[in-house]
Amino acid sequence: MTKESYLQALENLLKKHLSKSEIDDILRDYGEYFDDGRRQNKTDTEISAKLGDPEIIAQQFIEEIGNENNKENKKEIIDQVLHSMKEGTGKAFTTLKKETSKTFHTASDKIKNSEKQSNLNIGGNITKGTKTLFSVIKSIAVFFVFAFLQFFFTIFVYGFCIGAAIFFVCCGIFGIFCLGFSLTFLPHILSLSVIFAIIALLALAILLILLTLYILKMNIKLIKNYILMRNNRYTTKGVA
Amino acid sequence: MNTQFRKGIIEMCVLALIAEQDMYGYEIVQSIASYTDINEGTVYPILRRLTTEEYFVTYLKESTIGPARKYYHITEKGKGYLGSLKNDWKEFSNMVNDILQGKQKNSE
Repeated sequence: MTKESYLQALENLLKKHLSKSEIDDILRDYGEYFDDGRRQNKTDTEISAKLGDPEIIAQQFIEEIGNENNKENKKEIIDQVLHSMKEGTGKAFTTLKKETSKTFHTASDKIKNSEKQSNLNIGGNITKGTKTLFSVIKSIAVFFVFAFLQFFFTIFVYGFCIGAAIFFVCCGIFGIFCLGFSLTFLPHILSLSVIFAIIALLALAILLILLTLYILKMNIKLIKNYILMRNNRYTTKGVA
Repeated sequence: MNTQFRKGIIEMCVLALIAEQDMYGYEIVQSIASYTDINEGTVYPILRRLTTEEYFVTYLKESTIGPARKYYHITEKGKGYLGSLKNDWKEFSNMVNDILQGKQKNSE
């Protein structure tokens, strides 16, 4: 092949896949290659034989471009997934609201329509409407029940632990005062026992605080898992 | 030799050659061809991709004979990539040699 026909063949193969500037760039490289070969007294035929079939070369360039696009697409996909995960919770709430209002509207519309139709259909439509209504109410109820249970359980446990801790600390402080009182009036053995009682109470208070922190951690984990579960439920609902 | 594997090896060789000194296209291809018989045309797509991934930068240099030539120069990123490719190659060739020598030991 001559230099011109080789470059022309390459251009024809690349035209549909690459931009003009990319093709010009590539053709310039190969043109340079032919010029350098000619300068070394090689014939165009020799040079094109060494280069190989233009189809194979064009295929390689097209593959490279495809790989570049795939890498960018993958990055885009990962970013999109993260973005949609963040938006997921908000969307779940809005879809819940929409679905609820939609179901209410369709249910009320159906009831209205059925009043205009024959009496035989009324019963069926009403049960349909109320069935969908109940399922929606059920899912809302389940959600709120869970939320309240979590809420009250947490408040209760925290309140109890903190209250008990404060109580024991106060006992400890009170006990110190008692100690001062008892040292002057009571025999030493009894005051020793008061000291031990104080130490025990303070230790108990510390234990309760640690327990509170641990339960706090567990609750955060549970809430996280629950939110993830709910998101999965709503996405599968949306797909189905 | 498997095409993907060969491409990867040629990549490493191209990076190694240009790391030694800046070269232009024809020079690079002829250097590799002096070591082994390859499809010379397939070097340019590799050069192009490595440049897009910023392992090379190119510049035009005037020459006494003919028009300006496009020279390739390796970047820091390219040097890092070359280093990791070299390590991979060393590990791989050591592994293969171990297996081959092991087989020879067994057959003796």
